[in-house]
Amino acid sequence: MARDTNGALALWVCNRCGHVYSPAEGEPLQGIPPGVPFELLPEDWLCPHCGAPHSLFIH
Amino acid sequence: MSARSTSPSLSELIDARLSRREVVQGLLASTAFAALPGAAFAGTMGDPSTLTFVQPSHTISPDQAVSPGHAAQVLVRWGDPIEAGLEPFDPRRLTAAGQEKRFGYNNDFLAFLPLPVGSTVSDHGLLCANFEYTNPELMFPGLEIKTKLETMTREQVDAEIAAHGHGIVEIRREGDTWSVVEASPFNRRLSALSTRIALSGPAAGHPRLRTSADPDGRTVIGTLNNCSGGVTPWGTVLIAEENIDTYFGGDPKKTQEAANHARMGLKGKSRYAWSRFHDRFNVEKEPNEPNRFGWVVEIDPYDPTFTPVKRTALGRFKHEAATVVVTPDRKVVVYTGDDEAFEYLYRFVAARKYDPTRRQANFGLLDEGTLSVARFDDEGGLVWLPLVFGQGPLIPANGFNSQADVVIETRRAADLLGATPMDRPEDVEASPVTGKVYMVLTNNTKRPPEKVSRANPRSDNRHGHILELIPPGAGKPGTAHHDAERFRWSVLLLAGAEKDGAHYHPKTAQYGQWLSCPDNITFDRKGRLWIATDQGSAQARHGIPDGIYACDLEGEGRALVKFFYAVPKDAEMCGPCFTPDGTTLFAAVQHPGEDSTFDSPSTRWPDFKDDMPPRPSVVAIRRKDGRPIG
Repeated sequence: MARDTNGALALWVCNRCGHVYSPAEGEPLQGIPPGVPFELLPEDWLCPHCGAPHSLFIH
Repeated sequence: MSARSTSPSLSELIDARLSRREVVQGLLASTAFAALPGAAFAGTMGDPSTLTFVQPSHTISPDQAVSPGHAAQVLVRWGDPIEAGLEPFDPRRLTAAGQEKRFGYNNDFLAFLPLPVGSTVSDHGLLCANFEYTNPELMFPGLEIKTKLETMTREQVDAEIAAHGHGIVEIRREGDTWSVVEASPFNRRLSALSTRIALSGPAAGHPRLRTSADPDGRTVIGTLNNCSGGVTPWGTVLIAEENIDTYFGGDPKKTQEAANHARMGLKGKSRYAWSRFHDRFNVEKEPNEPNRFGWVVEIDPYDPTFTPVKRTALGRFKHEAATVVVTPDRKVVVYTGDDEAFEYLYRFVAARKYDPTRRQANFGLLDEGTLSVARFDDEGGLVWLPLVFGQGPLIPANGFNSQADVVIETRRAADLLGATPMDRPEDVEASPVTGKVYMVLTNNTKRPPEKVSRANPRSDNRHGHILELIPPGAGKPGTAHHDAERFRWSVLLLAGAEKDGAHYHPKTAQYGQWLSCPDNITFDRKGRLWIATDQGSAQARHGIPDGIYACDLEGEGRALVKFFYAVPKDAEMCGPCFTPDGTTLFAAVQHPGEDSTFDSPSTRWPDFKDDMPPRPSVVAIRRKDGRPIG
């Protein structure tokens, strides 16, 4: 599980639109509760802002 | 296409809102046709649209495609020189200094300002273009999407920052061919690296806008993420700073602006490498720098020495555009949407009136006035709620100590007033023929069924929709009271295919095409709507290209959408803009080949040369017979 230098769960950013996935917040409107690391998001998960696939997020 | 809507209540409400107006318009249309028999049969027999062009193939391709009988000329590309005597463009040798003398990256908003100023000349003028953002993996060789944030060099980052901003180039048409006047004294680049921009209005000089580089809080270096914009009646250009959160690294929770930065979307992870080399893009080092972006910027393209101005009275959020209209009594009104899911539509009404006789007298008009936010009622009414310090909840007890606080935290102020959260407000434009205002909602996949409203009628809204807002007095040129407290509204169309619960003119499947994710719009001289689309990553999933579509807004062909132009693969369409005579349509092809890399691009449009990556470019579309488009 990727962690940043502060030991918190890592942030991932969409290479398309810049939307940041924050595990601490999850994506409640997509049914993703707080605490889910990026690596454990469903495979068909899409960027809630621009619809980019999982694979276009960078860390 | 409404028959198979996703929910009965949805189709009921759409039908209810459409039926009354269509009865009235049907009657009006019959009368018009009786008076002008020739007009009724302009299209194919049985096709009620007044748009007679032939549609190109509705398929995704590495190349562009335009309606047969038209030509789409590539006018200017990323990297083309905008001053005389420069070497031909070589992206392998791109420097920041070189980029500041060349057309920037990811052109978005376009404006055509005729020369001379105030004229309607249509073969000579200034092309103004926003350069919204960058795809460094397509600009520089050797970068990979997954690792670029660590591997980019300072030189690459600086060139990338210089590729942001705006460009003004003199252009001229001879015959059917447009070209850039490279040696023009009007040519200018505004960059995010070096251009000094003044702050004006209520937030100028406020402590929350001060930084170590600018202790007065009155001068910002550069403008970022300019999406769309607008043109003022006095011939200046407004450009709109949108997704400014994406540039900043550092943890916003460690700053005194934590809540404000969170509301603007800063989370401590940038999609750019800029904060590695520039402290001002690290909020832990310059916590106020993000407060200096997210504004509307005014530029005088006719004066190359003009210092651009961020007009803070228009509020700070993710401005998609800034459309200027004038009321019958010469009040200046600006419409501007906040392009994020569940954000709002805003309007600014200037305190002083437009003076058509003295151009310079209007340059401070956008510094004083009233900013409002829209509440859409289910009964078809729209109320503008003023965002004024001291009124209602905008008081010190809620953290607002001045109008500066209200404009810096516009989103939070609008939350407190009870504005209506919309499905990503994109462009908002007023028809020059009727004064009715069209508001584009591009999509919102996050809307749950329990949050559906009549103005945002679909949950998981993947394809977007367009609303028609009707100010009192609308119906003829120049008669709409855009400053009124209350408007009416209705649904123009719900985008998508039939299975998505779309709603267009019932003959769209027969004579037109479906569209998805409307974004920027403009009008032709007859007041018909031209719609640019941006499906983003969904382009491949939907299986249709992005590009330009058009439809009638009045009469029997209302909302019968036709397809006109396709962008190349993995691009989006931006900035549609007609010359005053309607014979040229300029449009911006943004991010061709997105999600691929310089070394392995998914298209090499427009050059199709092995040593050149894809290049965002402006195209000039004309009919081959030179007559007005449409």
